[in-house]
Amino acid sequence: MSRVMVGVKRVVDYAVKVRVASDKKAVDLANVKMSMNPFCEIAVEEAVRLKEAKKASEIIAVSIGPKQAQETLRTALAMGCDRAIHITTDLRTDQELGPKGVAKLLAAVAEKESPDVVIVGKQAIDGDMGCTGSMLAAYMDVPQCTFAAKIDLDAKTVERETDAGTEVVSFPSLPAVFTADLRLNEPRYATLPNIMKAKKKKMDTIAAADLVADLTDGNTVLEVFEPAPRAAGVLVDDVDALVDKLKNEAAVI
Amino acid sequence: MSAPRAIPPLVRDLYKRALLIGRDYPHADGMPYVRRVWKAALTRDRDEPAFADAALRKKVAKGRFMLREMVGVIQLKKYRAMKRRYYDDRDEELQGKMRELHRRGEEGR
Repeated sequence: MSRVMVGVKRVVDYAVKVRVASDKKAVDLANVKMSMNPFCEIAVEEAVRLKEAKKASEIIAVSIGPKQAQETLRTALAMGCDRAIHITTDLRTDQELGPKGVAKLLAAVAEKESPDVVIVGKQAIDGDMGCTGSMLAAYMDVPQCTFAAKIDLDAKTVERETDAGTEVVSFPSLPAVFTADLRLNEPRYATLPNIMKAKKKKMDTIAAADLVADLTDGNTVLEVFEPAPRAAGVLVDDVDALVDKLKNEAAVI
Repeated sequence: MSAPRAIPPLVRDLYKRALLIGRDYPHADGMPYVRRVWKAALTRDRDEPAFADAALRKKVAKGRFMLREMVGVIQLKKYRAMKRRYYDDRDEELQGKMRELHRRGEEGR
């Protein structure tokens, strides 16, 4: 039976259309709906399934961020995690606190909790860095299996997503770090009774500064801007007009 | 005029669950839409004489089915949004094959 640690991140909800703040240094977070990163949901689901298959004894959810990150942790608890650790920081988790700082913090927690399996999402949908899992494995000095589409702890193999399809790799031993890809599973939706039960589960709070002194990664955001808008399309009257335009204006036929 | 009938606990519970799930429901109007539709559905039979227990349970069961449908919509929307954002460029190979097929069709004509 292994102990599982899951990293969850509170991000801007996937359905929200983000706007750049007036100082062009960040995305505007005022009055924006926040929720758990979809890839972290998949990671939590995988951990819960491991527990349901009697392969995991305890699931610890860890989140880094302001006080509101506790809501995200409660969601993870409602999905089936056993206890939570909240690492408090005032840094913006979408750009000020980069993957390096997060990996250091999670590695510090892992040292205390000594989990056998660490599952994180492959990337967060706000910063889209996608490095936290790999960096965490490096700081913990354990094997890493990234972009996992199927995890088999007994056979010690992982099917992972690549650009050309999937490949099966084997990992030498646990503990190991896994990063969840989209096709790993379909995350469940927390039910009302489970949300109620989650309120009674244990949540520890640790200040980030108490774990890791230096959280910087040397990056500075110079400017944040929206992608260029697409030019408006043209409606053509009939097929002849279309063929004419394709021939003469677009020069594709 | 008689005093308004108390809301059966099962129905109240159903509405609570609907509001909880409604927070994530992907609709342009969001929460107000969910509230409007659910209120209308739950109060449709308000003036009926009190349901027998079995009939009420049957109606609530239908309501719970609708909740599961809502969850399904939410999960599907989220999955598709992620797929569109991060994976659609992988269809290039397929597109290349389709182009090849099309070209052969043109040649054979």
